[in-house]
Amino acid sequence: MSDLTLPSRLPAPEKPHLTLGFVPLIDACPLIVARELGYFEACGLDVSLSKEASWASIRDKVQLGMLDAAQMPAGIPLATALGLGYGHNPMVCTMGLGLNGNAITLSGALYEALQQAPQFGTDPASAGAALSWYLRKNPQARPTFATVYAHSMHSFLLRYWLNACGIDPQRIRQVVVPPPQMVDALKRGLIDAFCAGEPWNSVAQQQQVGRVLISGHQIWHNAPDKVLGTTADWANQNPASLQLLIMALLKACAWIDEPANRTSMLEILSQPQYLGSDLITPDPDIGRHQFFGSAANFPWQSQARWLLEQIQQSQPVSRSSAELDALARKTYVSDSFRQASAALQLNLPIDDSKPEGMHDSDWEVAGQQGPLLLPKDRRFDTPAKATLTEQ
Amino acid sequence: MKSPPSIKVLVIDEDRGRAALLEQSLRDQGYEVLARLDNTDLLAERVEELHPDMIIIDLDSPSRDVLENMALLNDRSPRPVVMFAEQGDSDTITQAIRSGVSAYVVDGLEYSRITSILDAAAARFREFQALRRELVEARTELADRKLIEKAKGLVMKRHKCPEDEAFKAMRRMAMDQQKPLAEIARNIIAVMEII
Repeated sequence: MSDLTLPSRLPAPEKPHLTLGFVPLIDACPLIVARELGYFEACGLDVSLSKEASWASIRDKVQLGMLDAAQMPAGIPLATALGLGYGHNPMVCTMGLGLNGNAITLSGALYEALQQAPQFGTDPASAGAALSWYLRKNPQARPTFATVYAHSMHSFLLRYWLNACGIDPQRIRQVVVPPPQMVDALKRGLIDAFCAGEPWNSVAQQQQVGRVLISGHQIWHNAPDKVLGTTADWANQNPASLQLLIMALLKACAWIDEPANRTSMLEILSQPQYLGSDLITPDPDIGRHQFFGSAANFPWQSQARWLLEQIQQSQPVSRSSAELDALARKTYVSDSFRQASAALQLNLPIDDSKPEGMHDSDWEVAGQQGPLLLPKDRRFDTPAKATLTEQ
Repeated sequence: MKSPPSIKVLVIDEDRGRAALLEQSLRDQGYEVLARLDNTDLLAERVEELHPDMIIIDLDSPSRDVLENMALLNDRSPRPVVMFAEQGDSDTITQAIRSGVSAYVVDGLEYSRITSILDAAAARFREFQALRRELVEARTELADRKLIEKAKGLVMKRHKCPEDEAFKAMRRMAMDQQKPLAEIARNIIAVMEII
């Protein structure tokens, strides 16, 4: 699967020189690999990568045209659509850049306190029961949980887990800490726990500063995470550039998912202009990253809807279901992705939506070239559905 | 420029020199600057404690996500945040305001006041960039002069000639090779140090 062949004739990009933003995390690797292995070049694009210090900066620079497109949490284009991004320039999600990658890490002290609970375990239900027990036993306690961004999967998964375990999210103090400061903040007791992307959980564990309680994939198997985002204007003005960009990134995603390429991938990431060598010994079982396939890369409407509902939970005014549908349609756009995938001879789903969060094993949706196999996607508190053939 | 003095501003910038200049500029205009922070460790606590009306923060600061989260969680009055740009071109700020990126500064504050603060920040920022450029140039000049002196000394020692002759020889070389004197000096030093 790792060798996707580019078509012999490629469209001419409207804009061949592109600057893409990334934040130094394991899941920035599709962009980094596409550049380092020359996939952008093979697609006729000259791409510079710009390392950014915050998601807010990524969003604003994309809005201002200082970046053409960027890796970003799936929630950013949608939060902007809800008027929460501060910028008014509509943004679009043009493809998914991967699944999973997050975990909840606790300080040694909080972890040990939870271990005292009679129900303690490292599955989401038992871990939640233990946290609930701890909070009942210590009614004054309000442990500080850090995430890395308000509208990212870290925040949504953490809140989803708490709610599903019957814990009022108000019982914890939620703050944001920039990822590079996370492990230090945990070490110095400024925070008691964090939910962040890899490699930060592995780093905390390796430095014996914290212990992973549960991984994001245990809360929701194969949950969406980062996407390729740009502005709607940019996507409309540069359809060929966008299609070429998606083709190069799909090639990179396929290459990364080949287990034989893992060592080379980590070597590429360890270069100082990307993650640096300190950050590249992630425990693959914590992250369980999945970078390639329809589940990982297609901009699913059904995921946009779920995310919009999560974002809306922090808002005083709720929008109607029809309004959210319209926002999802405007923000998660699949036309460029469909063209790029077709050019690479990849099977595509017929529908832009799929049932989410209930499959305990591989399952199928109808594809344009026959059934499309998707990986399990169950959320831990959802009753499992006997699978295969949804349509 | 006269501005109502009631706005309390917090400045967050890892570049201390730039933050100091910005603070001075804001004070000159009658704003109250609560603090300048560059260490962003306990930022959430500091912001809660200081209650600024407005925060000026560098576009590239890693703390921006911290502040946005606070604004989202705080249902009373979100603390407005402004950024000014590391990117040299001064248009970025104007463009940022126009496209709404920093529209959230308007919450609870008059737009005209914000623009005047931003204008001041932008002007100060430009000045600072110019100053920094001058400083770099001055440093280079100083370094060049030292190089030339050193090369001159080496030439004098090797050819046992007086200072003005050594300097003339170097200047001639620079003209013949059409290279700056400092580069000639660097080459001389490199060669002489091998011998």
